[in-house]
Amino acid sequence: MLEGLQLAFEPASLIALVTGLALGLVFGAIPGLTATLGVALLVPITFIMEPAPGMIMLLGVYAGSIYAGSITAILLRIPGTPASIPTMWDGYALTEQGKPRLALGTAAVASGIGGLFSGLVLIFLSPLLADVALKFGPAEYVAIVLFGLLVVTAVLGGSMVRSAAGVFIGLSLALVGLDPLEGFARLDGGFYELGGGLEVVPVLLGIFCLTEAIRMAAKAKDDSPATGTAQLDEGRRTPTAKELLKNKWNFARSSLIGTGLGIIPAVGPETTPFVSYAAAKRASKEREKYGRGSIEALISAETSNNANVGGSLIPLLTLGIPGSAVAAVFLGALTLQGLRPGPLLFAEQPALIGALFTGFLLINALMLVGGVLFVRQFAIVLRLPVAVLATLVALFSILGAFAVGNNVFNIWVMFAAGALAFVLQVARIPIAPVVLALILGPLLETNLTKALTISRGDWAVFVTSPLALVFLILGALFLTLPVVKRVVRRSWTTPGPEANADQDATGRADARQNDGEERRAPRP
Amino acid sequence: MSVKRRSRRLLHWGVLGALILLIASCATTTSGSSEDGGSADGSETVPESYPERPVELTVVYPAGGGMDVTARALGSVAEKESGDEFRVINRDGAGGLVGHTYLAKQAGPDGYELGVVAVDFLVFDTLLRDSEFSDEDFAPLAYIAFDPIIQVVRADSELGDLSYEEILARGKQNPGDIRVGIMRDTTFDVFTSVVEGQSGAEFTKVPFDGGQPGVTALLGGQIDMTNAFYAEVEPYLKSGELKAVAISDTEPYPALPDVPTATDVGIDVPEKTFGAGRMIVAPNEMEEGLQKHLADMFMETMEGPVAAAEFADVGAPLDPRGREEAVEIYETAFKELGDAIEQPGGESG
Amino acid sequence: MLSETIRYPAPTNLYPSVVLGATVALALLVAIQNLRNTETFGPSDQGRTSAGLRPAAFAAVWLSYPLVLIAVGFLISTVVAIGLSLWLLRVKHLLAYVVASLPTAALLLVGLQVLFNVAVPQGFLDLLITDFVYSL
Repeated sequence: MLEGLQLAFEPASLIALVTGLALGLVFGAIPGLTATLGVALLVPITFIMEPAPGMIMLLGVYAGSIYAGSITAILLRIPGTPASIPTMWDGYALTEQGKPRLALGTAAVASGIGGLFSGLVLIFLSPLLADVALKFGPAEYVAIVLFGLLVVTAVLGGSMVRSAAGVFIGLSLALVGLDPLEGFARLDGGFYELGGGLEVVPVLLGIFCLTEAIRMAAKAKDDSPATGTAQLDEGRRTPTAKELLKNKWNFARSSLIGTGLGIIPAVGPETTPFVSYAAAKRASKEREKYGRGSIEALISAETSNNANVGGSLIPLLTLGIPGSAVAAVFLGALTLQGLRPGPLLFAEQPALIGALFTGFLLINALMLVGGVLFVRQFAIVLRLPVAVLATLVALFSILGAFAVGNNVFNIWVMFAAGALAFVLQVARIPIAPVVLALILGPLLETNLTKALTISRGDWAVFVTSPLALVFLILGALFLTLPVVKRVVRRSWTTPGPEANADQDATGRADARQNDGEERRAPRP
Repeated sequence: MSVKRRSRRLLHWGVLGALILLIASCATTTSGSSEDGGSADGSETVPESYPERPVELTVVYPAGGGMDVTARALGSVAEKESGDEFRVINRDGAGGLVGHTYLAKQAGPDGYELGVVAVDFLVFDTLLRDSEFSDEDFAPLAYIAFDPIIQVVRADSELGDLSYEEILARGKQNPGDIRVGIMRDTTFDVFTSVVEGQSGAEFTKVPFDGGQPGVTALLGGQIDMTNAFYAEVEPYLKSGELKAVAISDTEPYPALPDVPTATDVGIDVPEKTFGAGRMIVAPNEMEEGLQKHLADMFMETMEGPVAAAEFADVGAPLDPRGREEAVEIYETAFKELGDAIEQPGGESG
Repeated sequence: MLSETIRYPAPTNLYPSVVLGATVALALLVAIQNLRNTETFGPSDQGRTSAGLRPAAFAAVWLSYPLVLIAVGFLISTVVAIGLSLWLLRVKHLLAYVVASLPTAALLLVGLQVLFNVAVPQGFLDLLITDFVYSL
């Protein structure tokens, strides 16, 4: 371990760390360039490096790009990854209120704290938690996917029917492609390009980037810059000590949720911030502020999605199980360095593991400090004229979609997703459940079949597994608690101001329209 | 006021310029070019300028599996030997059908999209599954090695104390009790069926998207036995968590000399048939000249001094054969496995 | 036949039919809800159409960009698309057009092609530039 510490503080490692983090920021911030692509591009470069600096650089790219996805979510309402969607709700609301500095600074602090927490868990509890990761079999995955979908339905807090419609639209979209068992073409309309299913990146670009570009185009009057410019140089950029202290349980809870869900392989980072956000909202005393620029909400989302990174490294390093697409590429890079992630890695390469862990802590510390210091530089994008911004975002959306598999077909997928987003907005169906269900759909379907094969068709398997049962019950609680509470309250008291505050997003959206506000996307 | 505004406007454009410069500097640093290199006189002939960008090696299974490791080792060795850049792309899904379809239908014949495939898996995809391609769509370039299937159990489970014969006997006594990880309609599936057919045992076969997910499920106790390749289970065999119980070939596996072969336990299998006959393939429309160039390059790479060590390092077998032999193996596999499936009661022959 | 012995009695169509059925049912429900609340639903849409011409034109430009891209290559199509897009959004400064179009397109071309290995469709000009960069 000491040797590893030294290794991590060698100049080569430090340079690799900063370079990786910087590149990760660039990748995360440009729509269409994902963390996966960033890590994949740098793998060949790590061959000519020593293992420790090489892997530290890849870690930097991974962590940096997850964080940078939130920067664009806050400033431009474009989530760089699906994991930044909850960050977008409150982060962009803060930007609209003229507090982009505070939003960015808070995100940096929260990301750093979440990352550091997961790093410590990684260092001290890895072998222990590896066994937990293995407990997740098909039945548990089914339960956890259902849990994630129930939570996103609950977190939006609006009409349950609308959220559920969103979930099922996403699940339907996830059906497109080859049947995962028999390999029959399904719902692909004759396009064999759809054999592998809808690519998630073009769909996200269409839903978030393209629509945002068009919205910006509608706003562009002359050469005026985007919103929030005036406040770029004013106002604080970190939450006060008091605010931080007030959120200590929030930090703890979000870090735990993020790391915990990260450890579960194959669930990926997308579900995490939704769960954390929902949990924070349930526990909060100022629930009505959620979705309207709540620092608390921003902290819960950002802390958890960076805590997820460290969590996902646990099954990767101790078992050789990649939990997400990025982790898979990272696994390949390790293998090619002659390092075989698995039970023996810790015993055979203690120095390297030590260096990796130290590097991971350093990355998160640097992200915290750097994120706060460079708030102004990040926010500079707001100084661009809206017209130029709209043009660039549209261009990057198209090229980003094309870059996924060098395929013009994906550009049309992107446009179709944009059109879908428009239709959903008009029909007032929230978009977040659609996105999450699209990502989780294949996981649900394949594991449902596997679980039933293992149990030989016995549906009781989802109840007899304690872990699965816990997740199902938790999901049900998230969903029903507010309803139960409302019913109880209604039967005991007459409707007062309390009941009004509890009204759903539909009511809020109507209020927004009356203000002449164009933005109508349902928010929690 | 107006001065302030103008300066702000100037700033806008400065920012834009800076952004562009940033992108530009990224581009030049990674392409590894020096600013004042001048224009070297690039030759105009087609084979000379190839490759202008990295060559993609498509693997149809998820990262970390046996195929993936083989392809990545091949790519890195080829990079060192030829100086060209190679990149492994995982196009997984539907048990490999997604990637195979991509290679057959979408990959361009311009030499930038090659596949590292297992010929047996390809055969079963065309014969057993609803695939849109045939053996005609691929041109084998070089043969990498044959990797037999290894069936593994958890060392601390009930099956861990049994010999393979005893496991089969148990499968016969309690039909469906033993859950075995497979990939549906692939060589894993067919080999397990052959074992069932010949021994009378009956398993519950649980389908996974690759060898690695099956190993994970085995470790987690969701299944009792699984099919895998050596590279996927090596760390666990060495750490003692998993135990290999059978090899799907007629000869013992070099790294596991004590593990019984199928022949040893009385399962009749053809030699070097059930497993992964790994080879490099190109889309069939690729020009003959380019095919030959690539075949020679890969053969040279695999016979070179670096390859043996590097493959051994990642636990992937290497037994390179040239293009003619690769074509022969490819055609034989289609014929023999095809016969095995077509003939009634194929399990017993 | 072996091909038959390894088939599985799995209810393959159950999951898709449940999902699709629920989707249709819920979509109908939402549609009914929306129709009931037409007052809050209608007016906001009217306000949208009057200001919607420019965004529509903007979308049209970028929708046709991929088609042109395939036909004439990256550089020309991108410069034209950026120029049109800025003009539609009433950018007045000549400098904006100069900075945002040609250099951006050229650098993107180099960046995508060399750095990210994205094979954008190339025309004559594009080949000239990439060849020059690779020759460095």
